[in-house]
Amino acid sequence: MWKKAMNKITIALLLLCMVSANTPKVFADTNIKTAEGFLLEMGEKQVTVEEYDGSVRTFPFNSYYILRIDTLNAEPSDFKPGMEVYLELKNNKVTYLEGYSTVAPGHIPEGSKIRFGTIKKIDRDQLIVKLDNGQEETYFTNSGTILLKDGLKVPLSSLYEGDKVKLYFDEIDTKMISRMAVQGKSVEVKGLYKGKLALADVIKKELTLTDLKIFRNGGWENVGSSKTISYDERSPIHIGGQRISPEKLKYYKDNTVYLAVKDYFSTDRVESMVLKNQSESVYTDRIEDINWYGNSMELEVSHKNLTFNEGTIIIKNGRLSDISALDPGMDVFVVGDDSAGSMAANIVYVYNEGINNSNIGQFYIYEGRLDAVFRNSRNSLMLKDFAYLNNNSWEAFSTSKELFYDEDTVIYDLDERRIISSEEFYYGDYAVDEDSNYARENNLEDRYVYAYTDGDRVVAIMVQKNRDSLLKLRVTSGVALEAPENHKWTGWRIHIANAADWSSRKDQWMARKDSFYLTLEDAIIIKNGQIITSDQLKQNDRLYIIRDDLKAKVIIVK
Amino acid sequence: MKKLAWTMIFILLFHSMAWAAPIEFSGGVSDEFQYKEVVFLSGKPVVFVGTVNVKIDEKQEEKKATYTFTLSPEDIDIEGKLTRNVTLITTYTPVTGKGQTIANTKVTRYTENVTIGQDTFKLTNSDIQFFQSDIIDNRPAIDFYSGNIQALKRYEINGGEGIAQVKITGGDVGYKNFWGSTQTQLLDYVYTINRKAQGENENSSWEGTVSVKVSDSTTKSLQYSQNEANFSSFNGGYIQVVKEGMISQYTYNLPRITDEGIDPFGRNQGTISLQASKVPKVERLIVPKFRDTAGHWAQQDIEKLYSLGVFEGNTSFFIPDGSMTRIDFVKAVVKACDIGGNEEADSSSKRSSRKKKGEVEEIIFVDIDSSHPDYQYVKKAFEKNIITRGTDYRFNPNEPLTKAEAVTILIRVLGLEGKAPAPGYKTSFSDDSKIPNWAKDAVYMAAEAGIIGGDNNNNNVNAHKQLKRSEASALLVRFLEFLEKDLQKDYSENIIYYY
Repeated sequence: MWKKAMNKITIALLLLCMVSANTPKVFADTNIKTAEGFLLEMGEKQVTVEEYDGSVRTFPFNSYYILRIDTLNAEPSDFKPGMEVYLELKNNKVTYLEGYSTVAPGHIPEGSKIRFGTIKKIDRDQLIVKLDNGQEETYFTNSGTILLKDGLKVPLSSLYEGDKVKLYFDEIDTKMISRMAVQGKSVEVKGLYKGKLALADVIKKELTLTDLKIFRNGGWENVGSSKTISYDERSPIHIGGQRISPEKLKYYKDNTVYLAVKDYFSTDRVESMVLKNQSESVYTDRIEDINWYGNSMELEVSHKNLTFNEGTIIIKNGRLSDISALDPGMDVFVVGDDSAGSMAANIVYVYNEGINNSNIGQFYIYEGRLDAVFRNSRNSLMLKDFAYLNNNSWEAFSTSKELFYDEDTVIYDLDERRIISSEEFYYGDYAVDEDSNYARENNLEDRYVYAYTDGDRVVAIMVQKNRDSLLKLRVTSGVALEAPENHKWTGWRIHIANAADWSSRKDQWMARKDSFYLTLEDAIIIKNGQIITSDQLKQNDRLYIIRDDLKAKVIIVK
Repeated sequence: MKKLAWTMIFILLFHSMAWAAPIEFSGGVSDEFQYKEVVFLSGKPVVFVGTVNVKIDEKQEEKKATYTFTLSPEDIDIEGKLTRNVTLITTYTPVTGKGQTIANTKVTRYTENVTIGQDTFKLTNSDIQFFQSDIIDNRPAIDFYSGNIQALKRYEINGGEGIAQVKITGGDVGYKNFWGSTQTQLLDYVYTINRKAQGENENSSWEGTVSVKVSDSTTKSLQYSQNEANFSSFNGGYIQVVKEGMISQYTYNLPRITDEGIDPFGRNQGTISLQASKVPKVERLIVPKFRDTAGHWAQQDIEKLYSLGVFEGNTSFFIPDGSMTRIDFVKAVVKACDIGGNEEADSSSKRSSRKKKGEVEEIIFVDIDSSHPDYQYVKKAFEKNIITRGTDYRFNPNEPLTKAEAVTILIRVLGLEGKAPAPGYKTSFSDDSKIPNWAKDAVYMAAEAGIIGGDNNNNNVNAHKQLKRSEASALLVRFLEFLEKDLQKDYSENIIYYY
């Protein structure tokens, strides 16, 4: 009887062991329970919780247990009464206790996600940015996106492709830019040099060059027999499309080098460098076509095919740009490197300049006769026999055009050489009925204007008695070679270099081979949407100019 | 004996480095020979050059900085002279248990005499009010700090002809670590000059503003130098290069002053930039001679770390594709960042003296007792919260290190884990769900800092992956580059260019 009973027990135990060996988790899981509710008290050895059904229970801690708040490891002292908690229990002892505290998961302080990069492409509210870590991202702007340049808020239309930017985001996974700062003048290429490499100091990070020339007026101009320029270790150095380290420069002594140099706190610093591989050829031409698959372009007049590569220095709008900034139809200065029948472009300098920096901007320049000025509800002016600058050429209309002004519109009376108020503009004799007795008795005529507008809103307007001949007006782009001077005979004037004139017949920017002085006495000068005085122009300012011979009429500082 | 030799190399390499800080709060820059700043008291920007004698006496609880300037206009056509004597005392007050220090600075001496043309400007000790307070966040390998400055300088013009008052408001931001330090000051000056009419010039009083951004940086970096001789016992080696440079930018908005006096309608606005750098200091490092790293993708990284004494050993084999152990990585990090500084070397000698007396070190982990050769590194890392211990008190020193563990250690060293978003977020990695909860903040911050990125194929971070010694070396070198270069750029150029 006893033996039978023992056998039965043994068989039962064996079966139990077999079952447990096959399904150990089933037995283990049955011991794990969970509880959740509000924490009442956090003790050293136990925790008291009011469960959601209202029952109050105290659970002791297991010998090993995990404490977390919002998935992060926590200490017992971090838990506070009232917080919601979740518990996992083994044998009714706490093995895992998690509290919940975060109200806004994933929240970051406003603007605390930051990215640095270079704008590769602008398409209205969409920016393609090459980040400093090499990745390329597409970001978006909206009407609330703030843009700062040199500490001042400027419109998004100020942005250029090639600008270096600091982007601020309010959320960790958003592509919408809340704020952005753009590097000011320091982003622009101060000089494009060619020289012979005499010495490369890899510790001081300095290059000494001899036979130094600077790109000026469509060619290389001597600037000195020797110059030492610092470089940044992040500045790329290429030869034949291959990137090389600065340590290798010692093998290229006496080799011709091309340098794009920027201003670094009043000193020159190399931003990009290409070593000449074989022999140099230069072209001032227009890009006929670009083969994006073959990384090559064809020039229109010379019919030359040039390849471009990682090392090609591309300068557009005064900024170092990406190959993608090039387009067919651009007027360029190209330095080619001829080798065994194929030619690589070492430098592509783009002459094209426009009123707008990108397709974000909707700025226009109008010229016309001031027919009427309205105030109060309309605050507008009517132009008749007007023209506007369309792709650098005047397009004339015999109809009327209404433009709107406001208290922020800057109105400049060229004849009186002063800024006038909107009230003076309205009440003054700027637009008159020429057939009226009053006009005849006082010998009054409508004035003529140049208006710089943002859409139909006048940003700045210059009013003058005499009309300029549109045929004589020339559109020119160029760079201020020096700061302006107040000359005793001509008044304020500025020295312009690297200039190109727009040819309406050829529909092309024609590079000039000379520099020239431009007088500023009869001009309105616009910078960042504001009128500035002649003396506020700076050396190396890039200028979009409407001029009558050597007299500037409208200057936009780019 | 071997240990002593290694310790000596360690001390030799990690010599002390002067912390970078702009000179006083005038926006000037200097190299070894010349100091340069812009002075605006005359209403026009005038660049002054000359010498400054700097004396810094820094103790744990107080720093005394004394500056003596003797300057004259850079333009020899301008007559002028500037002498200035300044003593600033900074008192450090550690905040117990917070790992932070409050630094308050006051002026104990400030005298200045400036002559520009016919005008003299005199400032005595009683003519200045100055308050500066900084908060320093002391993280394991780095001190981050930020502060505010409020000051007022009052000059007597030509012995009673008028008063020139300069209000200064702004602050500073900076960091200090073993690999470098940068301090950038952002200051706004408001000039108010009230003076009696001089002859026909009735409007000789004026107001103007100047914004100054000035940054001083000291950085260490490694540079490879090839051995040009063919039959040498080594191919080349690394040089440690210490560089110090200052950049400054003044943006001014002043009255336009003509021969007729002050033009009531126009302003003179512009920017002046200054730059100065010292001759780099060079120091050769030991030459690595591993036989199994040649041609390996991580050869440079391994050799850099070996040259620095971060990796040690006399064998000819590094075993780059072997597993990095937890203990080796912690030790490398503590050494690479000089955590504890000279305490490390000191503690080594203290340990031996304690042993003589039979004293027992505190047990931190049950599997690393105080006699373990690397105990001091683990202890230091534990004391600085770089590593923590679980309820089992085990460190598992010889277990392979995972990427999540390595990244967590590095981010704790920087003290950046607290800057991660509020919990409950996803990182940008495709395998975000596989990142352990305890490592998520570190992985997020390491990605933000550019220390890690997703793999090329799938943007996975592979947090559970066990790191090879080569991979851990590459990660460590990237981390050191962050300390050397990225921080410097972030605190200097990226502020000055974009502020």
